[in-house]
Amino acid sequence: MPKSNVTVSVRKVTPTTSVFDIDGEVTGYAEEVLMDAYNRASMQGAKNIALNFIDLDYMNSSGIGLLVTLLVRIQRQKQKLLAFGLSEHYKQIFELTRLNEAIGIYETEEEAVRAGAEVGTVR
Amino acid sequence: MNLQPVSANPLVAILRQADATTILDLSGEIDGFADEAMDDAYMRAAATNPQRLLLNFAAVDYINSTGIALIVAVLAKARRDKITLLTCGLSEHYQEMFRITRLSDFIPVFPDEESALAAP
Amino acid sequence: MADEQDKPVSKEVPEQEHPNEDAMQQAERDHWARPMGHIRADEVPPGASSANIEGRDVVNPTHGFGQLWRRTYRIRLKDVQSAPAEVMKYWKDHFPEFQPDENRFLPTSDGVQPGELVFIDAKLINAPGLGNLTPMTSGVMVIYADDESFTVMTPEGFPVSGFNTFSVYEEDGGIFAQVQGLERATDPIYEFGYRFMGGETKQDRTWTHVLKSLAARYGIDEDVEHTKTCLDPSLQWQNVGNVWKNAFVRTTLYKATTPVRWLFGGGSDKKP
Repeated sequence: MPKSNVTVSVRKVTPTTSVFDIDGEVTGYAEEVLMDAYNRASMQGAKNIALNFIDLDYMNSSGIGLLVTLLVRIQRQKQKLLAFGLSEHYKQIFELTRLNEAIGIYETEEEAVRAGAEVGTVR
Repeated sequence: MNLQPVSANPLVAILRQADATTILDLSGEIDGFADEAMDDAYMRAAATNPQRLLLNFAAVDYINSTGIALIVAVLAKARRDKITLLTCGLSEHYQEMFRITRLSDFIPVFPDEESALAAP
Repeated sequence: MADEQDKPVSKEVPEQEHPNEDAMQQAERDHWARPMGHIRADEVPPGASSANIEGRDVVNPTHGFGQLWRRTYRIRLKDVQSAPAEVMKYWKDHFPEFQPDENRFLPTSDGVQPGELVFIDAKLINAPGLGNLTPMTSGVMVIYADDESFTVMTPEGFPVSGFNTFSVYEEDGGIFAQVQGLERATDPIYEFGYRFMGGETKQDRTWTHVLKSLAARYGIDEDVEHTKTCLDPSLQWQNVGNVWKNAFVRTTLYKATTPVRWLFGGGSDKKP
């Protein structure tokens, strides 16, 4: 099984929102890359982090575990985690694992960024 | 101006001694507002270096799920400090609550102080 | 693997890079279970009970109460020549055999497949000195399975909320079999039981037993490594009410057993 097979680029789209452009596979091996991106975004003052899954090639259950870990760190810092660009299949995975209850799912980057700007919780 | 909500019926804990058993007479409500009072009560009780600590619930009006968690936290500290924890004075309703949550598996439940103190 | 179109294969890119995309994507989709809402137990194997799973939702760690831990147990399958996929297939086909008595797994006839339930007949610690362990019947759902791993997810009412992944992989020239859990205790009672009443030790024993039993099939007797990371030490007070949800499970067990408890009048069946 290949090791880390993903890149995550951080784009600051508003003073408080950063988008993570994920390209590749989100598996257990993506941890370092993802947490690195998170640290960078936090240092840049991000209050909202929007995961862009448009270029996601694959996600396995360890990848879901990784999102839980990321979510926990985000919640502890009172930040918000959002996601967009999920295919129908991956939307179902978020539903199956009930991550859609804790991570706001949007169709487009614009919607996600707008949701991030709203005051209050995602739910 | 203090904007924190306060309990209308705060937890009060009075310390008593009966041989090697320290007794905490609890009154009021055991809910989210009670965490500091519980902490403080346990600290005072532990300072007497008892072998056993008896929580007397006879004057407690209300326990919710957070209250259960606070009691579990006392249990954890008692265990750490090698103090045997006992309870008495729980109403039928709260005894059932202890049974349903299986808290009674971990903390003996006595109907009254006398039977609690008489236990070996 | 026949291509529908006659595409020339580039010399720079190996043949595997041009598989039938649709088939591959479908295979990957099939690794995952479909969302099912409330769990339905279509088949209950002998010795199992669906009472504590039927109608429940699955829960992830955000639904739990206790600290969030990631616990990894693994064993090196030294000198084993089989590929990870072969070992995993063997594990899936035989896994109830590797479970200890106090944590029995009862799969359905379809075995370890995404969407299938694995029933559990276990014994939980209640308190030392009481003698008996509390029986617990429940189950978990297989949410993901590929050639080298499978992941189960817990239902409401289970002692922990989260995921457990069983995998076999290559690393540093060797093969490892691993169990990795990402979970929170569901309520304060389970959190307490885990931290203070031997629950953690019991869990360590269970997975050590499983991995050593699997390894023994390959003639291997090695130590199990375990690493634990607390990913979030804070308690999730918004979920403290789980103690009531879990009460139903406990009540079912409570009625089914005769726990040793202190009765009115001094405890006639109290153990010394």
